[in-house]
Amino acid sequence: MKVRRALRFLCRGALLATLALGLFAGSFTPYSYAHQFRGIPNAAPSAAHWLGTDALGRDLFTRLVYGTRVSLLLAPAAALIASIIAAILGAIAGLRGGWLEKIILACADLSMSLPLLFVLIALRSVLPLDVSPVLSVIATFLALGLIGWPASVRVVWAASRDLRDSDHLLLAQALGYRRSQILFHQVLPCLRPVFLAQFWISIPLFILTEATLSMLGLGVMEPLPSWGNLLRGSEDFSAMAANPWRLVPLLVLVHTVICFQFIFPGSEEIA
Amino acid sequence: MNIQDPLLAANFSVDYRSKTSVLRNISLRIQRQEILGLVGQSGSGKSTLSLALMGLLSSKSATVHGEILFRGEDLLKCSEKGLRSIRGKEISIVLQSPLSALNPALSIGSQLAEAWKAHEQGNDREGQSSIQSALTSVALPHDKEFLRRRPSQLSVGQGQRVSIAMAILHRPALLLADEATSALDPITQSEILTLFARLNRELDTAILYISHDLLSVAALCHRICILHEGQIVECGTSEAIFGSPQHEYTRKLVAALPSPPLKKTSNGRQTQSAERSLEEVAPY
Repeated sequence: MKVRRALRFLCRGALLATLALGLFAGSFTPYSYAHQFRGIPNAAPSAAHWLGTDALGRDLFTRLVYGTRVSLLLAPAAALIASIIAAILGAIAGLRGGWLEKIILACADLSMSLPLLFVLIALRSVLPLDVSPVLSVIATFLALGLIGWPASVRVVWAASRDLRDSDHLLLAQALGYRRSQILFHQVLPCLRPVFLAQFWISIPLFILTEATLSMLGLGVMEPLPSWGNLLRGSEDFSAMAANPWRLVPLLVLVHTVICFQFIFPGSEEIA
Repeated sequence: MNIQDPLLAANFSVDYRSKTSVLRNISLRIQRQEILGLVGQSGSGKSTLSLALMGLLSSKSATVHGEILFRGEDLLKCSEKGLRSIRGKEISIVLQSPLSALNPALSIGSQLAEAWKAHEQGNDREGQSSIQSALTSVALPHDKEFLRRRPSQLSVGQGQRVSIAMAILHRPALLLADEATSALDPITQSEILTLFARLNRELDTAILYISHDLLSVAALCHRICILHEGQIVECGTSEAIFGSPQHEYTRKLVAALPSPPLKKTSNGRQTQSAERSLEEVAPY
């Protein structure tokens, strides 16, 4: 138990440090993420360029810290959109029941049966390939948020359905509570832990999905960096073996996703 | 409305969509300040009856036919808004299990404050004063430390007292106690029964005490009604119910009452350690 607790605090610290790295990217590097040092493409790490440069001569460390900002700020934003949609639909389905419940759950099941990555690729392909980088970021994470809700809906629906049949909701009605009182002061406090859990577990999922899309060239567009597009070319094993520092964005990505899994107490600790 | 008129006069039947005639021709009269007991076995329709009186069956796909006159007003013809203004203020309820009836995510203080805000618009000081008064009535502390506790930090007895405090916050004319002591140990059960009797005396609250436990009903109530398979088969004083039960089901209920344990006397013969007479279970 002590080890797990220590690991939790370590992961929280590491996540905060990564977040700070992204938020204050300008303080950690003197360069712009798009600036090209044309004389030194594909340079090895040095005192001036800690992670070397890419094929266009851009400083990789600079691109990594700015990419951290994009991935680590927008994935929670997408998770928030997905969680809010899931919370509203799941709560309506669970609390109202009837035909509305059937329709919402059928939509969720239908959405879950579609392969998420292919849907995202199809959606992204609607936009032109030369779309501006900022628009590509917004489109990528908006798409993630708008179609990433179905799995969470099921969880919120199950919690809401239990609540619908609960004695304390019956008592609230029997004591004459107004509808707004029941919704905001009885239902929401009970569902808040479920909402938060769904929000937190969506973040690493969206970070990974964005990385996959960007690796395929359909996510965040150049020159804006993200963890995903920094990993483009990593499928070339011989190049990676020759330049192992190019794997640092992958390590940061994996470390962040793992940290998200450990920042909350385990169920046995709560019990 | 005449002062002699009953507080509640109900003649109704209840059908669920999946099962008809769950309650048939229920006829109930509750006078002001009276404690009426309703006894029936599990599945006889006791909880359905209490929910019907609160107008809470519509969400359970049930239909109520007939009339439920509370202070002369037919609750079955009331709008939802009208019913909401009666629930908790004029007619209140205490449920069986306090630990499931209280919201686990909220502190006791928040729950009492919400129950107060449901019918009052006054400032917080008035609310705090009412909450303190209600907690004092049920013999609970009202200090900040207690009000900050969650239901999981209370004993079952304390939880039931909090439920009762929420129910009497607006001094209702009628309190429905739906199996309110069934989940409690005998000592806590006795304390809660004493509390109900005191609230009845001090607040003039009429009580419909619903239970499957004939002895606890007899200990508290002025009159007892027996509910069997969705029908009230017999009503009377506890003396009449125990002394000369008319219906076969009532006779079975009385006969099924547990006997006190036997102990050996000094001469080796077995005798009842504490013979319970009707006087002991007579109305409170």
